[in-house]
Amino acid sequence: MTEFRSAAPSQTDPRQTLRSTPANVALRSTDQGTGFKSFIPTERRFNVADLFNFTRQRGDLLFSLLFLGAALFLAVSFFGESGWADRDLPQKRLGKALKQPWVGPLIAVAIFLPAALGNFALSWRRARLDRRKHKPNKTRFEVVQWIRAIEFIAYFIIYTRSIEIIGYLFATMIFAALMVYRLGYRSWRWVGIALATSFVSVLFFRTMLQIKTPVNIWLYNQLPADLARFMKVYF
Amino acid sequence: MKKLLTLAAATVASLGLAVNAQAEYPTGPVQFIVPWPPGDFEDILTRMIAANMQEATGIPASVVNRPGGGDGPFPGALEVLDAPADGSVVGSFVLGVPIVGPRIGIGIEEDSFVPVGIFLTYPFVLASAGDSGYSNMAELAAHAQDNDVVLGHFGAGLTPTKATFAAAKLMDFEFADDSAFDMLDCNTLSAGDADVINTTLALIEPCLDTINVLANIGENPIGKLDGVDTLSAQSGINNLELWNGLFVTKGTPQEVIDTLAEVGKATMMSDEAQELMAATGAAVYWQGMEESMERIAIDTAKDLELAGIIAGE
Amino acid sequence: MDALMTGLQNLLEPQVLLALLIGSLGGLVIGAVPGIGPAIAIAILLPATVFLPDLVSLVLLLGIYGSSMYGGAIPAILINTPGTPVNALTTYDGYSMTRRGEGPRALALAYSASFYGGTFSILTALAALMLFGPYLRDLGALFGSRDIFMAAVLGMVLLILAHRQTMLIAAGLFGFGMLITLVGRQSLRGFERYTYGVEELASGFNLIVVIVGIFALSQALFLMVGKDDPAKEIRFKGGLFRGLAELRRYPAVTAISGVYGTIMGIIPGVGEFVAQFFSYATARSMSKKPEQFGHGSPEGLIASETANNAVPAAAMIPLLALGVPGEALTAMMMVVFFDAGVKPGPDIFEKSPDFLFSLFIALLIINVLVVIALLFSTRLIARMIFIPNRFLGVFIMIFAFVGVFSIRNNFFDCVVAALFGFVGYILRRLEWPLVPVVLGMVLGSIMVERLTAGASRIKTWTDLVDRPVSGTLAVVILVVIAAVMVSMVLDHRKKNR
Repeated sequence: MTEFRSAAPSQTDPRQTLRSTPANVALRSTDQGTGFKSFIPTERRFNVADLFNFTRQRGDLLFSLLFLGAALFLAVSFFGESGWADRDLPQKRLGKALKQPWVGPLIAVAIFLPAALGNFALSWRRARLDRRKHKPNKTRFEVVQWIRAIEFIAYFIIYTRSIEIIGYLFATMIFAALMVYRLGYRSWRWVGIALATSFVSVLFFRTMLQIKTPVNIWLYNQLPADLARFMKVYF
Repeated sequence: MKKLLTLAAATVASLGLAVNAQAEYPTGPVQFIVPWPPGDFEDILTRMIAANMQEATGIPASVVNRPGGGDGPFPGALEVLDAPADGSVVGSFVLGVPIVGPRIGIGIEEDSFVPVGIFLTYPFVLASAGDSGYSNMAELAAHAQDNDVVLGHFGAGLTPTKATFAAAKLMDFEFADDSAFDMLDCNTLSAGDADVINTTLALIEPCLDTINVLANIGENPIGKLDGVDTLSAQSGINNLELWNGLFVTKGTPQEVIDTLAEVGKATMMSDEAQELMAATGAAVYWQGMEESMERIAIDTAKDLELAGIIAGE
Repeated sequence: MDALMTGLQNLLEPQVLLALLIGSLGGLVIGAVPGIGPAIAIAILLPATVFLPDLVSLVLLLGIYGSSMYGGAIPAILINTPGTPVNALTTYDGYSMTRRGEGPRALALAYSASFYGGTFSILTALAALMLFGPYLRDLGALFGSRDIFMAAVLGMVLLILAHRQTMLIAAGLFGFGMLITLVGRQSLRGFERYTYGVEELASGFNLIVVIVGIFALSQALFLMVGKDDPAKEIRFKGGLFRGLAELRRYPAVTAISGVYGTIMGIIPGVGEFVAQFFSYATARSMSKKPEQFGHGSPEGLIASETANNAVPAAAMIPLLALGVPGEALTAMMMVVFFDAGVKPGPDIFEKSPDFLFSLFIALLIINVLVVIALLFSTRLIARMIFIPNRFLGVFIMIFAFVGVFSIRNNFFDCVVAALFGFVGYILRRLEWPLVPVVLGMVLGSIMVERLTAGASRIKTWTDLVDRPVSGTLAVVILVVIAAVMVSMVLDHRKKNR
């Protein structure tokens, strides 16, 4: 099932705009005036059947392997971590067995493990087919994309950690400005927009809606008592 | 009548006095941690306390719900434990936290928390369907000799559940099986999931006239239900009940405890709180620090006694 | 009848009406901007609304839920990018129509189809409520723990089977979600599962935290690691009013899609995706011009938009009546209900009938408000679509923190959300489905809890299906599995011939 992606427009092919079409050719079924113009991205031919088609992408084999690894790990942990060791079997009443804590994990693992195994097998088969057709193996590219995301995850964690130290308002504004800069919006205008938007969000969420943020903030504790209290409550 | 008025006036006056004399506490926002999802009795009453505190002292006081999911009140309790002992974070805990907490090895010790006061007893009852054929514990015991009776409860570690099992032991009958539920209400009985359920009165309110309430679990019978005796009276177990109280961490200054106690007491005496009691069958009162500490000691012994009965003496 | 009046009255408070307005318009914009969707918005606003009066917060979130799909159609049709994942199918026909210059017509069709779908399911639900409501308690006696267990199992089976090409992946992710939800210590029941001795894991994984991570944070990462789309230009002329009436020309498709969406919404585990796909496929097989589907067929557009808007109101039905949510967003609304003191279950008609009426009437008003707003503000909204991707990503992260931290106020949850964000990001890149993880958590926990609760009545295996409802559901499950397997075998043979 396709999660959405932005279509990449092609701006070089002049055939792909409506402007080259003569005005008197009836393309529309209702008379709507001059109609609608836009740049049209690369044409995508598709069948309805394609909607239900799933083709394995780059990195699928690797991830299927990791997926299987996780399933195996959790399956092995089942024997120690789910209460299986303390099981009370056999029981005359089936119910006395079913309400024991290991039943839930057993069902979950019984679904997870075979599915992960089967999926890995299918992914392996597909990879073998691709190798036979001499399709290039782009897994390394994919892994690089994954690692690039880790950088942003790290920023997120640093941001959440820093809220305890410098307070929600400053942490959010600094985060927004730095991130926007890091992502390439290097002009004062963009940084300004980021600062303004983050300030408004802080006002909305913290000051108005009073959502919970950590109470004991090092920076605010350095301020004189009254100001400290004000900042802690409203920012 | 006059006595009551003077008492009320004195309470309010002393509240005002306390605030003027101790301008030190509270110096910053106060958070009351309720380790359950919002909406239940302890949550409502704690919110009342927080609101009154904010009004009386002018400092923002709020309630934070910290539900522990399947782990009950313990994650919330640990959070209160980790906070500084200056009264900025106050816990609203059930008896399980000071009594059972030290036994499960998660970092809570016997003296980790100091009670500010106990203010609520949950109206737990034992109920069965109207056509079950028994309407009190003695009849249940007789019925259970030859028939399968299934019990529904909120968890084996919960005080009312332990009380039920101990009572069954003493009255010489056994439940054929029992299950822990997330929710026990009228539908549980009508859909046939259990024969006897151990739940709070509020949850079976809609069908109260069509079911049998066998007993209530606590020290005193509930006013709303006449003809229903306490479980302890009917079975001979002790009268341990499930209560909720305000707690602070060990080492918190006495003035904090006193200020909180003033507000708590005034809140429980207020009309709103008393109305809650009348409407729902919960018991709303105030037991101060010393009384609460004694009660905890007594209840710890009662809890161990119940556990002993269940294990077979 | 009194309940209906009271429900209506409760809605006519100024605060509630304001919330309705904000929710609807906000939901429109949230749906229209690709990159944020109702799941993210609801997950983030949910904890914040605890402070507002119950009906106000409910109506606000409902507004977002109900109107986001309308908004999502706008970029789907105009720039081939679904505003919410649920509008994916709309891109196929809607965008083709845009390329022919029929953009306004497509939009008008989408709006009217959505309006029909939404209103149809709401009125059905209201009628069901009024006719069956008083009997719900007796009906409720049929639905004990074992029956609801079976309903959850049916939901799981349907969910997995619906992912036709990715069944194993869906099953695996479902199992994973189920396991995640079981992690934790249950002190009151005396055990711990999968905590590995780590104290932070003792309170388990919270559903909203995982949802924010796997939907919102993963989307943020996806946007930030990718490139911005170069600025597009949309010039928009022509009115929408005329297009609205065009719906009349396709009564069959509209009616059938409406019914499909409603039924699929009621069946737990199915949700908007499947409703849309099935409705689309049926419309194509019934159509006189099937070759047009995917290339600008108005019937295709109507089929998908009607079905997906019919789902929300219908999905409320199993949630309210049984406590089993019909799909992921509805599962989040369940949290709102709990906070409002409304406990879903057969008792609900007895305990809070006016709440139920308020709910559905509010949904109706939202649908009306949204269509009116759209007729005048589509141009404005179309401009908002172009917020740069990576900029959007930053703010999704900021809002995600709000949502996550407000739930249990601990830092560990933020780490969990980040981890699921990373995993979700990889899943998106691989085109693996995300929904099974969430439904694995929801349906999985319902299954286990109901099995545990009903266990005391089970002496032997037959006791599990010995009841009218659970027995019927068990049979349905077997029949469905058999049917799908047969059709897969037949397809396989056809391909190899």
